[in-house]
Amino acid sequence: MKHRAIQWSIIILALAGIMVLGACKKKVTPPPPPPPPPPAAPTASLTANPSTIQQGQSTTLTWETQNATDVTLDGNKVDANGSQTVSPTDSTTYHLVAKGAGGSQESTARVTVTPPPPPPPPAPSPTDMDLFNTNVKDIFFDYDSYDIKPDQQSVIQGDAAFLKQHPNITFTIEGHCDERGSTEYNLALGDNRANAVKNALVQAGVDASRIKTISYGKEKPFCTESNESCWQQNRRGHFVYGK
Amino acid sequence: MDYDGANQRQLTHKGSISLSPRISPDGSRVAFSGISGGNWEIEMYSLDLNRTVSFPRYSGTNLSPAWSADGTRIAFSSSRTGDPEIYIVDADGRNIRRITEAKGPDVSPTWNPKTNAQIAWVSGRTGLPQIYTMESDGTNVQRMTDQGYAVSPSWAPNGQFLAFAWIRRYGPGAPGARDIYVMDITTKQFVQLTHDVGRNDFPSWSPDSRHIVFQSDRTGTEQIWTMLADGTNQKQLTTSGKNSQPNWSFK
Repeated sequence: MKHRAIQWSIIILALAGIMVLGACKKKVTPPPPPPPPPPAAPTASLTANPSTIQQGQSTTLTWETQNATDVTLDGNKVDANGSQTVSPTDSTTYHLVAKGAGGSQESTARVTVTPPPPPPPPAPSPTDMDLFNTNVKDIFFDYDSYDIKPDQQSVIQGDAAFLKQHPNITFTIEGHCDERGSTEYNLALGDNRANAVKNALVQAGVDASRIKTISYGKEKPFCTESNESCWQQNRRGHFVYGK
Repeated sequence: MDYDGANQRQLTHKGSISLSPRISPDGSRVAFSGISGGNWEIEMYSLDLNRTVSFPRYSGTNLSPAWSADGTRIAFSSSRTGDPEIYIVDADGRNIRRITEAKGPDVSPTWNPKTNAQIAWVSGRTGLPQIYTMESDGTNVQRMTDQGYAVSPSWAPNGQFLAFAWIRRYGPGAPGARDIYVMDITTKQFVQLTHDVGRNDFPSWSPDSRHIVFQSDRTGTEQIWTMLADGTNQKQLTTSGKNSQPNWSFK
Protein backbone atom coordinates (compact mmCIF):
# COMPACT_ATOMS: atom_id res chain seq x y z
CA MET A 1 0.00 0.00 0.00
CA LYS A 2 2.75 2.38 0.94
CA HIS A 3 4.40 1.93 -2.41
CA ARG A 4 1.21 3.02 -4.10
CA ALA A 5 1.09 6.17 -2.05
CA ILE A 6 4.54 7.11 -3.12
CA GLN A 7 3.57 6.61 -6.71
CA TRP A 8 0.67 9.00 -6.29
CA SER A 9 2.74 11.63 -4.60
CA ILE A 10 5.25 11.48 -7.41
CA ILE A 11 2.52 12.01 -9.94
CA ILE A 12 1.07 14.88 -7.97
CA LEU A 13 4.45 16.44 -7.59
CA ALA A 14 5.04 16.04 -11.21
CA LEU A 15 1.73 17.56 -12.08
CA ALA A 16 2.35 20.35 -9.70
CA GLY A 17 5.68 20.90 -11.26
CA ILE A 18 4.22 20.91 -14.64
CA MET A 19 1.63 23.34 -13.55
CA VAL A 20 4.18 25.59 -11.96
CA LEU A 21 6.40 25.33 -14.93
CA GLY A 22 3.52 25.85 -17.25
CA ALA A 23 2.54 28.99 -15.41
CA CYS A 24 6.00 30.34 -15.66
CA LYS A 25 6.26 29.54 -19.35
CA LYS A 26 3.10 31.40 -20.06
CA LYS A 27 4.66 34.58 -18.84
CA VAL A 28 7.40 34.67 -21.56
CA THR A 29 5.19 33.84 -24.59
CA PRO A 30 6.00 36.49 -27.41
CA PRO A 31 3.23 38.82 -28.54
CA PRO A 32 1.20 37.55 -31.41
CA PRO A 33 2.69 38.44 -34.86
CA PRO A 34 1.26 41.66 -36.45
CA PRO A 35 -1.46 41.08 -38.98
CA PRO A 36 -0.09 40.52 -42.51
CA PRO A 37 0.25 43.88 -44.43
CA PRO A 38 -2.63 44.68 -46.76
CA PRO A 39 -1.93 43.75 -50.40
CA ALA A 40 0.02 46.55 -52.29
CA ALA A 41 -2.03 48.89 -54.49
CA PRO A 42 -1.43 48.37 -58.21
CA THR A 43 0.31 51.02 -60.29
CA ALA A 44 -0.40 51.82 -63.91
CA SER A 45 1.11 54.11 -66.53
CA LEU A 46 0.16 54.45 -70.15
CA THR A 47 1.92 56.57 -72.75
CA ALA A 48 1.43 57.13 -76.44
CA ASN A 49 4.42 57.96 -78.57
CA PRO A 50 3.95 60.04 -80.57
CA SER A 51 0.96 61.58 -78.97
CA THR A 52 -0.06 63.43 -82.11
CA ILE A 53 -0.38 61.73 -85.46
CA GLN A 54 -1.82 62.54 -88.80
CA GLN A 55 -4.82 60.61 -89.95
CA GLY A 56 -3.62 57.33 -91.36
CA GLN A 57 -0.44 57.25 -89.32
CA SER A 58 0.01 55.03 -86.26
CA THR A 59 1.35 55.51 -82.76
CA THR A 60 2.63 53.13 -80.10
CA LEU A 61 0.90 52.75 -76.77
CA THR A 62 3.21 51.52 -74.02
CA TRP A 63 2.06 50.58 -70.57
CA GLU A 64 3.53 49.39 -67.33
CA THR A 65 1.70 48.08 -64.26
CA GLN A 66 2.66 46.64 -60.94
CA ASN A 67 0.73 44.65 -58.42
CA ALA A 68 -2.05 44.02 -60.83
CA THR A 69 -3.68 40.77 -61.60
CA ASP A 70 -6.11 42.05 -64.12
CA VAL A 71 -4.96 44.62 -66.68
CA THR A 72 -7.23 45.89 -69.39
CA LEU A 73 -6.69 48.42 -72.14
CA ASP A 74 -9.98 49.89 -73.25
CA GLY A 75 -11.72 46.88 -71.88
CA ASN A 76 -9.48 44.29 -73.51
CA LYS A 77 -7.36 42.14 -71.27
CA VAL A 78 -3.67 42.72 -71.85
CA ASP A 79 -0.38 41.76 -70.28
CA ALA A 80 0.86 43.58 -67.23
CA ASN A 81 3.46 45.34 -69.34
CA GLY A 82 3.36 45.73 -73.01
CA SER A 83 2.97 47.88 -76.06
CA GLN A 84 0.63 48.00 -78.93
CA THR A 85 0.46 49.91 -82.17
CA VAL A 86 -2.75 51.71 -82.89
CA SER A 87 -3.89 54.00 -85.68
CA PRO A 88 -7.04 55.75 -84.61
CA THR A 89 -8.91 57.72 -87.22
CA ASP A 90 -9.99 60.35 -84.72
CA SER A 91 -8.45 61.74 -81.59
CA THR A 92 -8.84 59.07 -78.90
CA THR A 93 -8.20 58.73 -75.17
CA TYR A 94 -6.98 55.25 -74.28
CA HIS A 95 -7.76 53.84 -70.81
CA LEU A 96 -5.51 51.42 -68.98
CA VAL A 97 -7.06 49.80 -65.90
CA ALA A 98 -4.91 47.75 -63.59
CA LYS A 99 -6.77 45.75 -60.91
CA GLY A 100 -5.20 43.76 -58.18
CA ALA A 101 -5.83 42.61 -54.64
CA GLY A 102 -4.79 46.09 -53.59
CA GLY A 103 -7.35 47.88 -55.62
CA SER A 104 -7.56 49.44 -59.04
CA GLN A 105 -5.50 52.07 -60.85
CA GLU A 106 -6.26 53.80 -64.05
CA SER A 107 -4.08 55.68 -66.53
CA THR A 108 -5.01 57.40 -69.76
CA ALA A 109 -3.16 58.52 -72.84
CA ARG A 110 -4.53 60.91 -75.35
CA VAL A 111 -3.70 60.49 -79.02
CA THR A 112 -4.49 63.54 -81.08
CA VAL A 113 -5.22 62.84 -84.73
CA THR A 114 -4.79 65.70 -87.13
CA PRO A 115 -6.36 65.68 -90.55
CA PRO A 116 -3.94 64.90 -93.33
CA PRO A 117 -2.43 68.02 -94.88
CA PRO A 118 -4.20 69.19 -97.96
CA PRO A 119 -2.58 67.75 -101.02
CA PRO A 120 0.11 70.12 -102.21
CA PRO A 121 -1.42 72.53 -104.65
CA PRO A 122 -0.66 71.39 -108.14
CA ALA A 123 2.41 73.21 -109.46
CA PRO A 124 1.05 76.40 -110.99
CA SER A 125 0.85 75.84 -114.66
CA PRO A 126 3.45 78.08 -116.28
CA THR A 127 1.98 81.15 -117.87
CA ASP A 128 2.42 81.94 -121.51
CA MET A 129 4.87 84.61 -120.45
CA ASP A 130 6.95 82.12 -118.46
CA LEU A 131 6.98 79.71 -121.38
CA PHE A 132 7.87 82.53 -123.74
CA ASN A 133 10.73 83.73 -121.56
CA THR A 134 12.07 80.21 -121.18
CA ASN A 135 11.77 79.08 -124.75
CA VAL A 136 12.32 82.08 -126.96
CA LYS A 137 16.01 82.92 -127.26
CA ASP A 138 17.57 86.20 -128.34
CA ILE A 139 19.42 86.46 -131.63
CA PHE A 140 22.97 87.85 -131.64
CA PHE A 141 24.69 89.78 -134.39
CA ASP A 142 28.17 90.59 -135.67
CA TYR A 143 29.52 94.12 -135.43
CA ASP A 144 27.69 96.58 -137.69
CA SER A 145 25.68 93.72 -139.21
CA TYR A 146 22.02 92.87 -139.29
CA ASP A 147 22.45 89.54 -141.09
CA ILE A 148 21.26 86.47 -139.19
CA LYS A 149 24.50 84.56 -138.64
CA PRO A 150 24.64 80.86 -139.57
CA ASP A 151 25.08 79.91 -135.93
CA GLN A 152 21.89 81.80 -135.07
CA GLN A 153 19.72 80.01 -137.64
CA SER A 154 18.95 77.12 -135.32
CA VAL A 155 18.00 79.59 -132.60
CA ILE A 156 15.57 81.27 -134.99
CA GLN A 157 14.10 77.90 -135.93
CA GLY A 158 13.66 76.98 -132.26
CA ASP A 159 12.00 80.32 -131.57
CA ALA A 160 9.72 79.91 -134.58
CA ALA A 161 8.72 76.38 -133.52
CA PHE A 162 7.69 77.56 -130.08
CA LEU A 163 5.87 80.62 -131.41
CA LYS A 164 3.92 78.53 -133.90
CA GLN A 165 2.86 76.19 -131.09
CA HIS A 166 1.60 79.21 -129.12
CA PRO A 167 -0.25 81.20 -131.75
CA ASN A 168 -1.94 83.49 -129.23
CA ILE A 169 1.27 85.02 -127.97
CA THR A 170 2.11 88.44 -129.31
CA PHE A 171 5.58 89.80 -128.77
CA THR A 172 8.09 92.57 -129.41
CA ILE A 173 11.53 92.27 -130.93
CA GLU A 174 13.94 94.95 -129.69
CA GLY A 175 16.96 95.77 -131.82
CA HIS A 176 20.07 96.58 -129.79
CA CYS A 177 23.57 97.71 -130.74
CA ASP A 178 26.88 98.06 -128.96
CA GLU A 179 28.15 101.38 -127.68
CA ARG A 180 30.80 101.97 -130.32
CA GLY A 181 28.46 103.09 -133.07
CA SER A 182 26.91 106.51 -133.37
CA THR A 183 23.51 107.16 -131.76
CA GLU A 184 21.40 107.76 -134.85
CA TYR A 185 23.07 105.17 -137.01
CA ASN A 186 22.72 102.59 -134.25
CA LEU A 187 19.00 103.27 -133.99
CA ALA A 188 18.62 102.61 -137.71
CA LEU A 189 20.87 99.54 -137.47
CA GLY A 190 18.90 98.26 -134.48
CA ASP A 191 15.74 98.68 -136.53
CA ASN A 192 17.29 96.57 -139.29
CA ARG A 193 18.25 93.94 -136.71
CA ALA A 194 14.76 93.78 -135.21
CA ASN A 195 13.27 93.50 -138.69
CA ALA A 196 15.80 90.85 -139.72
CA VAL A 197 14.65 88.69 -136.81
CA LYS A 198 11.01 89.43 -137.61
CA ASN A 199 11.46 88.53 -141.27
CA ALA A 200 13.21 85.27 -140.39
CA LEU A 201 10.35 84.31 -138.09
CA VAL A 202 7.74 85.24 -140.69
CA GLN A 203 9.62 83.18 -143.25
CA ALA A 204 9.50 80.28 -140.79
CA GLY A 205 5.73 80.59 -140.59
CA VAL A 206 5.05 83.00 -137.71
CA ASP A 207 2.23 85.44 -138.42
CA ALA A 208 3.67 88.93 -138.90
CA SER A 209 0.69 90.56 -137.17
CA ARG A 210 1.84 89.06 -133.86
CA ILE A 211 5.16 90.85 -134.02
CA LYS A 212 6.05 94.41 -133.04
CA THR A 213 9.55 95.75 -133.53
CA ILE A 214 11.39 98.63 -131.92
CA SER A 215 14.99 99.76 -132.01
CA TYR A 216 16.84 100.91 -128.94
CA GLY A 217 20.16 101.39 -130.71
CA LYS A 218 22.74 101.73 -127.99
CA GLU A 219 20.35 103.52 -125.63
CA LYS A 220 19.47 100.52 -123.44
CA PRO A 221 22.54 98.31 -123.21
CA PHE A 222 22.41 94.94 -121.43
CA CYS A 223 26.04 95.27 -120.44
CA THR A 224 28.04 98.46 -119.95
CA GLU A 225 31.67 97.39 -119.96
CA SER A 226 33.87 98.33 -122.90
CA ASN A 227 35.02 94.93 -124.09
CA GLU A 228 34.04 92.54 -126.86
CA SER A 229 32.12 90.07 -124.69
CA CYS A 230 30.00 92.91 -123.40
CA TRP A 231 29.56 94.44 -126.85
CA GLN A 232 28.46 91.06 -128.18
CA GLN A 233 25.80 90.93 -125.45
CA ASN A 234 24.48 94.26 -126.69
CA ARG A 235 24.29 93.34 -130.38
CA ARG A 236 21.05 91.44 -130.37
CA GLY A 237 17.44 91.06 -131.26
CA HIS A 238 15.81 90.79 -127.85
CA PHE A 239 12.41 89.17 -127.39
CA VAL A 240 9.85 90.69 -125.04
CA TYR A 241 6.48 89.11 -124.30
CA GLY A 242 3.55 91.22 -125.45
CA LYS A 243 3.46 94.04 -127.93
CA MET B 1 21.41 127.09 -124.40
CA ASP B 2 23.44 130.04 -125.60
CA TYR B 3 26.58 129.57 -127.71
CA ASP B 4 28.75 129.96 -124.60
CA GLY B 5 26.91 127.23 -122.68
CA ALA B 6 24.81 129.57 -120.56
CA ASN B 7 21.01 129.49 -120.24
CA GLN B 8 20.55 125.74 -120.51
CA ARG B 9 16.87 124.82 -120.59
CA GLN B 10 15.07 121.51 -120.70
CA LEU B 11 12.31 121.37 -123.31
CA THR B 12 10.94 117.84 -123.19
CA HIS B 13 9.84 115.98 -120.08
CA LYS B 14 8.54 112.80 -121.60
CA GLY B 15 9.99 110.26 -119.23
CA SER B 16 11.33 108.39 -122.25
CA ILE B 17 14.15 108.93 -124.68
CA SER B 18 14.14 112.03 -126.88
CA LEU B 19 16.99 112.48 -129.36
CA SER B 20 18.26 114.41 -132.35
CA PRO B 21 16.81 117.88 -131.76
CA ARG B 22 16.82 120.14 -134.82
CA ILE B 23 15.83 123.79 -134.55
CA SER B 24 13.73 125.16 -137.41
CA PRO B 25 15.28 127.94 -139.53
CA ASP B 26 12.92 130.54 -138.07
CA GLY B 27 13.77 129.41 -134.55
CA SER B 28 10.14 128.72 -133.66
CA ARG B 29 10.16 124.94 -133.45
CA VAL B 30 12.34 122.00 -132.54
CA ALA B 31 11.85 118.74 -134.37
CA PHE B 32 13.19 115.66 -132.61
CA SER B 33 12.71 111.92 -132.41
CA GLY B 34 11.16 110.38 -129.35
CA ILE B 35 9.51 107.17 -128.28
CA SER B 36 5.77 107.71 -128.32
CA GLY B 37 3.24 104.91 -128.01
CA GLY B 38 6.04 102.36 -128.15
CA ASN B 39 7.35 103.72 -131.41
CA TRP B 40 10.05 106.14 -132.49
CA GLU B 41 8.17 109.10 -133.91
CA ILE B 42 9.11 112.51 -135.22
CA GLU B 43 7.86 115.02 -132.71
CA MET B 44 7.56 118.77 -132.85
CA TYR B 45 8.08 121.19 -130.00
CA SER B 46 6.95 124.80 -130.33
CA LEU B 47 9.35 127.27 -128.74
CA ASP B 48 6.57 129.88 -129.03
CA LEU B 49 3.96 127.78 -127.22
CA ASN B 50 6.44 125.94 -125.01
CA ARG B 51 4.76 122.62 -125.68
CA THR B 52 4.75 119.71 -128.04
CA VAL B 53 2.53 120.27 -131.05
CA SER B 54 1.00 117.59 -133.20
CA PHE B 55 2.90 115.92 -135.99
CA PRO B 56 1.85 112.84 -137.98
CA ARG B 57 2.76 109.42 -136.64
CA TYR B 58 4.12 106.76 -138.89
CA SER B 59 4.69 103.09 -138.40
CA GLY B 60 8.24 101.81 -138.02
CA THR B 61 11.18 103.68 -136.56
CA ASN B 62 11.23 107.40 -137.38
CA LEU B 63 14.47 109.22 -136.68
CA SER B 64 16.73 112.19 -137.27
CA PRO B 65 14.53 115.00 -138.61
CA ALA B 66 16.29 117.74 -140.63
CA TRP B 67 14.83 121.08 -141.65
CA SER B 68 15.19 122.34 -145.18
CA ALA B 69 16.77 125.78 -145.32
CA ASP B 70 13.44 127.48 -146.00
CA GLY B 71 11.73 125.60 -143.18
CA THR B 72 9.04 124.18 -145.46
CA ARG B 73 10.19 120.55 -145.46
CA ILE B 74 11.65 117.99 -143.13
CA ALA B 75 13.82 115.08 -144.20
CA PHE B 76 14.01 112.13 -141.84
CA SER B 77 14.63 108.41 -141.63
CA SER B 78 11.67 106.04 -141.45
CA SER B 79 11.46 102.26 -141.50
CA ARG B 80 7.73 102.32 -142.21
CA THR B 81 8.37 99.78 -144.99
CA GLY B 82 10.56 97.63 -142.74
CA ASP B 83 13.88 99.14 -143.79
CA PRO B 84 15.14 102.58 -142.76
CA GLU B 85 14.97 104.98 -145.73
CA ILE B 86 15.11 108.75 -146.14
CA TYR B 87 11.74 110.47 -146.56
CA ILE B 88 10.75 114.09 -147.02
CA VAL B 89 7.54 115.49 -145.60
CA ASP B 90 6.14 119.00 -145.67
CA ALA B 91 6.66 120.83 -142.40
CA ASP B 92 2.93 120.59 -141.68
CA GLY B 93 3.17 116.80 -141.88
CA ARG B 94 1.60 116.38 -145.30
CA ASN B 95 2.84 114.93 -148.54
CA ILE B 96 5.35 112.32 -147.36
CA ARG B 97 7.56 110.82 -150.07
CA ARG B 98 10.41 108.40 -150.05
CA ILE B 99 13.68 109.41 -151.69
CA THR B 100 16.09 106.51 -151.04
CA GLU B 101 15.72 102.85 -151.79
CA ALA B 102 18.60 100.74 -150.57
CA LYS B 103 18.70 97.85 -148.15
CA GLY B 104 20.29 98.71 -144.81
CA PRO B 105 20.27 101.75 -142.59
CA ASP B 106 19.67 105.16 -144.20
CA VAL B 107 19.61 107.87 -141.58
CA SER B 108 20.81 111.31 -140.46
CA PRO B 109 19.92 113.53 -143.43
CA THR B 110 21.13 117.15 -143.58
CA TRP B 111 20.12 119.74 -146.19
CA ASN B 112 22.46 121.91 -148.13
CA PRO B 113 21.47 125.24 -146.54
CA LYS B 114 22.80 127.19 -149.45
CA THR B 115 20.94 125.53 -152.32
CA ASN B 116 18.11 123.94 -150.30
CA ALA B 117 18.21 121.26 -153.01
CA GLN B 118 20.69 118.63 -151.85
CA ILE B 119 20.73 116.26 -148.95
CA ALA B 120 23.70 114.53 -147.35
CA TRP B 121 23.01 111.47 -145.23
CA VAL B 122 24.44 108.24 -143.89
CA SER B 123 23.88 104.91 -145.57
CA GLY B 124 24.96 101.41 -144.61
CA ARG B 125 24.09 100.06 -148.06
CA THR B 126 27.63 98.76 -148.58
CA GLY B 127 28.30 97.69 -145.00
CA LEU B 128 29.90 100.19 -142.67
CA PRO B 129 28.15 103.55 -142.73
CA GLN B 130 29.37 106.13 -145.27
CA ILE B 131 28.43 109.72 -146.12
CA TYR B 132 26.45 110.23 -149.33
CA THR B 133 24.89 113.20 -151.07
CA MET B 134 21.92 113.37 -153.45
CA GLU B 135 19.44 115.79 -154.88
CA SER B 136 16.40 116.20 -152.69
CA ASP B 137 14.39 114.17 -155.19
CA GLY B 138 16.71 111.22 -154.65
CA THR B 139 18.72 111.48 -157.85
CA ASN B 140 22.47 111.91 -158.33
CA VAL B 141 23.62 109.81 -155.38
CA GLN B 142 27.30 110.42 -154.62
CA ARG B 143 29.37 108.57 -152.09
CA MET B 144 31.62 111.04 -150.26
CA THR B 145 33.68 108.89 -147.88
CA ASP B 146 35.75 106.02 -149.16
CA GLN B 147 36.45 103.96 -146.07
CA GLY B 148 35.94 103.49 -142.36
CA TYR B 149 32.86 104.39 -140.35
CA ALA B 150 31.42 107.80 -141.25
CA VAL B 151 28.30 109.24 -139.62
CA SER B 152 26.47 112.41 -138.54
CA PRO B 153 26.93 114.81 -141.47
CA SER B 154 26.19 118.52 -141.07
CA TRP B 155 26.17 120.77 -144.11
CA ALA B 156 27.88 124.13 -143.67
CA PRO B 157 25.71 127.21 -144.29
CA ASN B 158 28.07 128.25 -147.09
CA GLY B 159 27.11 125.05 -148.94
CA GLN B 160 30.74 124.13 -149.54
CA PHE B 161 31.63 121.84 -146.63
CA LEU B 162 30.33 118.81 -144.87
CA ALA B 163 31.35 118.19 -141.30
CA PHE B 164 30.95 114.64 -140.03
CA ALA B 165 32.29 112.08 -137.59
CA TRP B 166 34.65 109.49 -139.01
CA ILE B 167 36.51 106.46 -137.75
CA ARG B 168 38.78 106.56 -140.74
CA ARG B 169 41.19 103.83 -139.78
CA TYR B 170 38.50 101.38 -138.92
CA GLY B 171 39.72 97.82 -139.20
CA PRO B 172 39.28 94.40 -137.70
CA GLY B 173 38.99 94.53 -133.95
CA ALA B 174 38.08 97.57 -131.95
CA PRO B 175 37.66 100.71 -134.01
CA GLY B 176 40.03 103.60 -133.44
CA ALA B 177 39.12 107.08 -132.35
CA ARG B 178 36.14 108.83 -133.90
CA ASP B 179 37.06 112.33 -134.97
CA ILE B 180 35.39 115.30 -136.58
CA TYR B 181 36.36 115.93 -140.20
CA VAL B 182 35.39 118.61 -142.69
CA MET B 183 35.18 117.72 -146.38
CA ASP B 184 34.95 119.99 -149.39
CA ILE B 185 32.02 118.58 -151.36
CA THR B 186 33.51 119.50 -154.71
CA THR B 187 37.00 118.08 -154.33
CA LYS B 188 36.24 115.54 -151.56
CA GLN B 189 39.38 116.74 -149.83
CA PHE B 190 39.07 116.59 -146.08
CA VAL B 191 40.64 118.04 -142.97
CA GLN B 192 40.71 116.32 -139.60
CA LEU B 193 39.65 118.71 -136.83
CA THR B 194 39.92 116.57 -133.70
CA HIS B 195 42.78 114.19 -133.10
CA ASP B 196 42.48 110.88 -131.34
CA VAL B 197 40.75 112.19 -128.26
CA GLY B 198 37.86 109.81 -127.56
CA ARG B 199 34.65 109.67 -129.53
CA ASN B 200 33.68 112.94 -131.18
CA ASP B 201 30.35 113.09 -132.96
CA PHE B 202 27.41 115.19 -134.16
CA PRO B 203 29.11 118.31 -135.48
CA SER B 204 26.77 121.22 -136.21
CA TRP B 205 27.79 124.46 -137.93
CA SER B 206 27.30 127.96 -136.62
CA PRO B 207 25.29 130.19 -138.99
CA ASP B 208 28.45 131.99 -140.11
CA SER B 209 30.23 128.69 -140.98
CA ARG B 210 33.11 129.70 -138.70
CA HIS B 211 32.37 127.50 -135.66
CA ILE B 212 31.39 123.91 -135.12
CA VAL B 213 29.64 122.57 -132.04
CA PHE B 214 30.01 118.86 -131.38
CA GLN B 215 29.91 116.20 -128.71
CA SER B 216 32.96 114.52 -127.26
CA ASP B 217 33.55 111.96 -124.53
CA ARG B 218 37.23 112.93 -124.18
CA THR B 219 36.67 113.86 -120.53
CA GLY B 220 35.08 110.50 -119.75
CA THR B 221 31.47 111.53 -120.33
CA GLU B 222 29.77 112.91 -123.41
CA GLN B 223 29.78 116.71 -123.27
CA ILE B 224 29.18 119.55 -125.69
CA TRP B 225 32.23 121.35 -127.14
CA THR B 226 32.83 124.06 -129.68
CA MET B 227 35.77 124.85 -131.91
CA LEU B 228 36.65 127.02 -134.84
CA ALA B 229 35.99 125.37 -138.19
CA ASP B 230 39.71 124.76 -138.57
CA GLY B 231 39.75 122.69 -135.38
CA THR B 232 41.45 125.26 -133.16
CA ASN B 233 40.16 126.79 -129.95
CA GLN B 234 38.28 123.72 -128.68
CA LYS B 235 36.15 124.63 -125.65
CA GLN B 236 33.91 122.59 -123.41
CA LEU B 237 30.43 124.09 -122.91
CA THR B 238 28.66 121.57 -120.67
CA THR B 239 29.96 119.75 -117.65
CA SER B 240 27.18 118.04 -115.72
CA GLY B 241 25.59 114.69 -116.59
CA LYS B 242 25.84 113.55 -120.18
CA ASN B 243 25.15 115.94 -123.04
CA SER B 244 25.01 114.99 -126.69
CA GLN B 245 23.72 115.74 -130.18
CA PRO B 246 24.08 119.53 -130.24
CA ASN B 247 22.38 121.52 -133.00
CA TRP B 248 23.30 125.11 -133.74
CA SER B 249 20.26 127.14 -134.66
CA PHE B 250 20.10 128.87 -138.04
CA LYS B 251 19.97 132.34 -136.53
